[in-house]
Amino acid sequence: MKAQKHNGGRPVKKSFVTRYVPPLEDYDRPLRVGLFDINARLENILRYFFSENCHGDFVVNENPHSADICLIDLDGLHGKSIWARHAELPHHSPTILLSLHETQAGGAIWLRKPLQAKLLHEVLKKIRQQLLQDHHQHREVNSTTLPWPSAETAPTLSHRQQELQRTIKALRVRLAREKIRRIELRTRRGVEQTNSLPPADVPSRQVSIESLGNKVAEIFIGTAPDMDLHNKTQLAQAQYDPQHFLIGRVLEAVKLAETYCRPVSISSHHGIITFIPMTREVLIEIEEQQLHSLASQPIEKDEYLLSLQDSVCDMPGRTRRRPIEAFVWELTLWSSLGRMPVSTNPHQTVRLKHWPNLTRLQIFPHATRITALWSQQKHSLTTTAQVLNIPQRYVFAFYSAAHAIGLAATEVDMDTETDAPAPAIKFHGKPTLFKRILHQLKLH
Amino acid sequence: MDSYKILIAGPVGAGKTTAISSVSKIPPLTTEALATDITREYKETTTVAMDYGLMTLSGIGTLHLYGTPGEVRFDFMWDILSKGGVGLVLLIDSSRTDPFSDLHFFLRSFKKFITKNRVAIGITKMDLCTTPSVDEYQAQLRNILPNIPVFSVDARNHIDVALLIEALIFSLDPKLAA
Ligand SMILES: Nc1nc2c(ncn2[C@@H]2O[C@H](COP(=O)(O)OP(=O)(O)OP(=O)(O)O)[C@@H](O)[C@H]2O)c(=O)[nH]1
Ligand SMILES: [Mg+2]
Repeated sequence: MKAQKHNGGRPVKKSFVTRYVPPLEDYDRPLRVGLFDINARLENILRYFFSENCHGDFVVNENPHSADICLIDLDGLHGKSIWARHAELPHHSPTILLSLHETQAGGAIWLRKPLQAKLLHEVLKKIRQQLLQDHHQHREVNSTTLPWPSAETAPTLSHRQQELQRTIKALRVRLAREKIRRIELRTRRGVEQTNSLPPADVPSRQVSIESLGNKVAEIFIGTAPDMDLHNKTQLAQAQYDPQHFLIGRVLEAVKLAETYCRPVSISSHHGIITFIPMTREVLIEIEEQQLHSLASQPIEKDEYLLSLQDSVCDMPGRTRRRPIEAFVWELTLWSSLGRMPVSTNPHQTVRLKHWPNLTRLQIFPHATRITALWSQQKHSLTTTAQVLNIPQRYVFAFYSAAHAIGLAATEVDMDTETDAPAPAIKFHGKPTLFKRILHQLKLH
Repeated sequence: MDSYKILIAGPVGAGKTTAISSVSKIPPLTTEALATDITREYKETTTVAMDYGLMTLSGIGTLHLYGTPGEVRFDFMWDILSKGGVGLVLLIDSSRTDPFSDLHFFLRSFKKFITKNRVAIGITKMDLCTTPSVDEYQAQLRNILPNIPVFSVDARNHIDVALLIEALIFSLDPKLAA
């Protein structure tokens, strides 16, 4: 039996789930997904994805060994051995394998990384369906083998029992759904309120910005502990290289668009993102969830192609428009996950050009306090966290985002700042235009 | 927990009364009356004495918000209301004819207060008029009041208003405990 590459609407191969006989349980509850060798960033994204996209139909199980579905990162340090052991179990749970490389593993579904939200959701839905079917079949088989109760009491008792069971089941489902829904609503409300306006006549109420930010902070900023920044290994853990993420390409595209005062697109098989320097807007043709997931995963060489455009095409319904600044800020938060850009010296003083327009950017805890401190006093990233008595990850996240929109830099950066070379672009278009661009870029 | 008096000023119709209503945890006290003919171009009524609202910032304290009248004929109230204030929220209506001159006019009018206290600026109605941009306001302020919060704000949105007020409070002291 071979693992099947799940491809759009193609059905999931049935065999891998039919081997599994689920315990007699209620599968209307959220299904528990066990994560094996999945890094913290992806785990955060998955938690968010399960509650946002899947409406709480799936949850991450804190003990992966007692989960309904297994998700294994084969490219992780132990991924392959975990899968080998898991596959040997006679009735192992349905398994999804994540890998950059096509994988032929018996009895599991392979999904290529970077993970596509839509595909993952489809696969999960199919597994749920299959588990439900198996569960019902199993129950039917079991019920025929049960001894019948005594002739007098049997019909009434079993009828009552069935009624009771149905009521309990309905209650449990409702409770589970409600619980998930509340988590989901809390997260969603937090996100929405920062981006959209309430109706003009909303009743006045007390607001806690910090608590509002807290709800989304974990997803953006993670939960990394403070590091000893004099220790090289720990310092490296607190840094990320924007060039290894989509944000690196985005920053190149913005720079290119500004240099030539023309729209620049980033194309990939995931969709197109176009930057319009004239209106300082970005047109996004990638689903929001997928974009978050792409932003958090290291990119492959040549995965994203930059090209100068003569005009832009705004497809209503497919394209979202956002201010470039808000887009870059948010994407940086997704990529950095509470880390600072590589080569940042955390012991150098930070200079802030001016306050960011925080009402139009993704807010998170301590952002206003960090800005207030930097606008009045000279502090490094290290001393900022100490003086404000806050976890370092908030300072790093804020610095990364403010640095990406050109508002913050360390004094060393400023002293050594030179004109960066124009980013290399690949162009797929008319040869004449290509020549013109090469000429503009002085690459010919 | 401390309490702070915050002043909210700005031209007619900038959204001072609305902003206080958006964040006040008590029904705000307002003194609306029929506006003068000039003001009536913008709206029917105007604040003639003051607005008052109450807000709490968790871990920081209680904020007493005092809204000033926008009409210049009531400018005597600006000084009266300023007493005991620790910070000024200046709302500038970006849809008015010359928002930069409004900005400079109010900064001049509150100069004495600003030299001793902190200020944060909210640009309202940017949904109706997107220029000048927030960056351009920052550029106007670079040489006179560098490093102050300037946000685009919809006075009807309590998050926008609360964030601006929070920025003002942390400008007083970034180390205030949350
Ligand atoms: N479209 C839009 N309307 C806004 C915005 N901010 C405030 N408003 C509206 O603008 C009007 C402002 O009115 P007030 O709050 O009375 O203004 P004020 O500053 O108190 O005016 P005076 O007391 O006369 O000086 C209200 O109708 C608000 O709903 C905004 O950002 N966008
Ligand atoms: Mg008023």
